[in-house]
Amino acid sequence: MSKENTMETIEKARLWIFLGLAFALALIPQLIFFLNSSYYDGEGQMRDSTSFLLAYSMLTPTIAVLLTRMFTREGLALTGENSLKLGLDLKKSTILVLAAAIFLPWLTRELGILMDGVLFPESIDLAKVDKEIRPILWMIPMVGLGNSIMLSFGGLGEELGWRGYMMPKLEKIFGPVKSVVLGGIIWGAWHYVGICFGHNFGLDYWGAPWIGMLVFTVFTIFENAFLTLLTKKSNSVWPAAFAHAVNNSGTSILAFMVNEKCLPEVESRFGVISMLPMAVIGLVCLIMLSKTGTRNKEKAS
Amino acid sequence: MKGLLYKDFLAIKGKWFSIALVVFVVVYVGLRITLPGGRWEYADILLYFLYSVVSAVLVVFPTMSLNYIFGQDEKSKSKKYMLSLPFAKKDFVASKYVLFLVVYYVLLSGIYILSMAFMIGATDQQMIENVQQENIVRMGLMLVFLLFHSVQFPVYLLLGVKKAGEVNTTIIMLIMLALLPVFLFVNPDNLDLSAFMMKHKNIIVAVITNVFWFVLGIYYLSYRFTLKHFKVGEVSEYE
Repeated sequence: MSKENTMETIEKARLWIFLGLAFALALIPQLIFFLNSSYYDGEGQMRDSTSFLLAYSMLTPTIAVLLTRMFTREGLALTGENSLKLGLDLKKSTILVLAAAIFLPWLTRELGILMDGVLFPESIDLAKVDKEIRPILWMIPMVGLGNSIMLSFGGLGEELGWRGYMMPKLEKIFGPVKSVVLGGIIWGAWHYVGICFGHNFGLDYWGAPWIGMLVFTVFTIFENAFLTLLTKKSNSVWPAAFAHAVNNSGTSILAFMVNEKCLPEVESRFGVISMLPMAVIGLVCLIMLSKTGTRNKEKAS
Repeated sequence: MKGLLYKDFLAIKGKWFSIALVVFVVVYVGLRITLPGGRWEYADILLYFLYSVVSAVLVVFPTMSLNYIFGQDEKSKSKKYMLSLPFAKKDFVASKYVLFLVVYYVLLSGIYILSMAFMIGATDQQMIENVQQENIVRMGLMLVFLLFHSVQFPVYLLLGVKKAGEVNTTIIMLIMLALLPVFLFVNPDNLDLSAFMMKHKNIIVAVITNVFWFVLGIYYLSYRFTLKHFKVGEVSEYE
């Protein structure tokens, strides 16, 4: 067996160990919890215990990475080649990447809601906003973005695993484009247990939970392209961690004005149209990643 | 900068308060696992008390470490030898600012994880709400401390630990002097704080919502100021 084949076998083994740990550490507790309890309380709100469980789950990819690296003697270097990518070189290009990471998820969300408003004008209603809040509405994203950055350890907990460890290994095996699609599917599948019990979409829709799983996986593929490009351009997981946190916070000005009853069921439940701006960003990122892959091949030959 | 950050981390790693903090956190987590809320009626009270103490110490820990970190550089005369070392003065100054940002980020994340550990096992709903409110206060306090550091770091880096201690004492005395008339002469019953807050609520909300960006901006300006006036080479005032 040649040296390259041996290395590829070792990398695949490491990847399988990581994926096994990441899935087991998150999904087994989720299964046990949801089989004995329920996602929502009696009033249809997420239970406190559910949110704690999900917060713990967000840290499991990092726990999986640390355990995998220790078992397989990959080391725990913080920066450099084959590291945890926890460094951050603050040159101008990285500052731009950080700015994109923090502001693009918020802007795409606003754009998505705006698209809903254009297609379904009754769905945006300023009268829905409390008069007391209207003068300060424009400040809401600043709070959301600031809190997302300060409390991004959950995002970091996922990104250390997915973009920091899994994506570089997948790219070595499958190349830039296939790795993004496959990585997005794996990342989406990691959420399936939660979706089966009502995470993100609830359970009272046609085709539940399979349609929810499908829609979510499409989202994670595009989001994976964006987060992978952020990580590659900065050689750090921090921009992806911040972007992940901002995306999860759902901070938005227009969200205060949305009248969900005026949206079709499909749109209010799954946000298919409002997802389009992120899908476009994801597609652009995928093209940029494929060009980076082509350039690296040309350099190597 | 990685080496500079690691050097500063080593300065505080073995210190008694670092070790005490780690032991305290381990004891807290151990007690939380072995004492879920329903097992003993006072479990929540004990764990809440421990959580409050641990999280309060975590918030002030960076401030307690200031003298060790900056003092270590003076003991080893880093500024004097910097000319011959393979990093720029920008890296040296930035490493201090970055170190404390990282430390506060890690400690804030730790506080939230500890609070999650409390809330998972707790049965007392009032205490759960108290912990959630305390988290917000801790976050605010960390931002306030970062603001103080924006003033302290230039003094530490430009004038040295001894002069920085004198400046710290002076600032604390000035704050206490300014507050003394308030404590002596102001009758809280005459202050209609809620009316004041309602009248200026937009400004208050603007300040609260943007305090993170404001503090970050001041912190960055402090870094730029320090960088502009920082000099490497022979420093006679320490010797």
